[in-house]
Amino acid sequence: MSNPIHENVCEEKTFEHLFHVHGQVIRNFLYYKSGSLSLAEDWLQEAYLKLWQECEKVTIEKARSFLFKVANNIFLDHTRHQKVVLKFEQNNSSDSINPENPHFLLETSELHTELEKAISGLPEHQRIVFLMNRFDDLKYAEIAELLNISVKAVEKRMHGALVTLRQILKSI
Amino acid sequence: MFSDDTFLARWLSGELTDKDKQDFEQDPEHQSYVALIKGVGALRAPDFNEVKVLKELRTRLSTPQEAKTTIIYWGWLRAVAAVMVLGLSVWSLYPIKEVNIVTGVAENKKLVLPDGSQVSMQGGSALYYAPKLWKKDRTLDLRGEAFFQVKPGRTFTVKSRGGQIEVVGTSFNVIALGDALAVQCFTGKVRVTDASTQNRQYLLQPGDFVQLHAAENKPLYSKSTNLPKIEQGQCSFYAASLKEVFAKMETQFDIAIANKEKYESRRFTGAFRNDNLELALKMVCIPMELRYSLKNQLVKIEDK
Repeated sequence: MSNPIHENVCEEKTFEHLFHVHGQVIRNFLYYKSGSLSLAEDWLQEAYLKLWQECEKVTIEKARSFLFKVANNIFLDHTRHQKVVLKFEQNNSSDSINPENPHFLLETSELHTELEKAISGLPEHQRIVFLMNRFDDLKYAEIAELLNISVKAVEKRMHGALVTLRQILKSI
Repeated sequence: MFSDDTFLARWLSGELTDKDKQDFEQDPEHQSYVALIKGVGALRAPDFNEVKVLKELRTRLSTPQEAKTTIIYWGWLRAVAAVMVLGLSVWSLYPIKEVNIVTGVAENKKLVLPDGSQVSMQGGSALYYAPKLWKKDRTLDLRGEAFFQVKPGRTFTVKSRGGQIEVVGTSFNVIALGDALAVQCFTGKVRVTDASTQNRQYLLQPGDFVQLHAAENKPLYSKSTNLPKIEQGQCSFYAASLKEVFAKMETQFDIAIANKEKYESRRFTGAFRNDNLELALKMVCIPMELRYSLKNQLVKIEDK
């Protein structure tokens, strides 16, 4: 237990620390859901505004699930279901890049595009779980807690996502 | 082919039994799942500009009119308020702001503002402005009467209790006595806003005149160009209460005018010189068919 002052969410320092720690994951979550970066970042801010309002009632430990719940509600308030088109960044992992092989590069960028399409086309509940696990390195138990579902449900969605993606990508 | 509907999830997280794992690795589909995971592993979510988003968030936190988020920024607000209170007290300890120029009774003053604009103040007037802020904000407060010659530039604002006058570059005369306000435009354009009815505005062209909150509550607005030609060194009136004219004369010449109350309802249009009491009295009394007597700075006015 550190200095109690820093455990108070109403402390500006603590609040900004919580933004630093959870901001990106929640932004991503909202992006996976909406397919819009600008909306995701706007809603992320709204979620934190809400946290600030309720800072007296929320402990640091509960902050992340509070933010997820609020973020999800904001999303539900604003969104009519529409087709999601996600865009991802390419990791520059050294072993996969071979700049002297244009064929390889072409294949990589094709795969990139196909994966974007395939993931965007997943049912929302599978897409969220899949990306939170793959991109944000959240464990099934964490995802379960944040989405307020059972670990078993998370695993089912994950399994379903993999099956669906493989079917879509089988052709290439 | 999978024994249950969480199989792949557990494979991915390394939770399969060794037996299940080995069986799966023999499966022809295994390779394609490995490729899929590898392909996804080469991707990541769009970059998150934490600094930028946090900065926007801070701005939203400090603007309480944000939808649905009206009330509870007390934590930071308290800090902001404390800083403001501190700032204000420092401000009042070091009153760098205002220059206060007061003309005594019967004293005329000419001054040049930091931008070169000129003010001729009549007796018994006061002017406040902030020289240090003048470049950014050409605003001054006036009580009494002054003639302004404004250098072109930013909006030049004269505030008084009765209303405010805005110009860009022009010359105009202001009489601000209590709530009463009279403005005459000489050159350029002048906008006068009534203090009591914020929306009521008058746009004065050269020669135009407006008088607000005078004896009767009706604003007087004249587009007439055959007003008495007013020059500096004169106090000018348009349909002003004669009592007001005499009151002006009192401050201008440091005299007392007895029974001026009697003439409250009579109207005077014209001017009097502010450098010679006898002449001034004549300029008012002759056209109004009045008699005056002057003894020891005490003036008596009577009907002829």
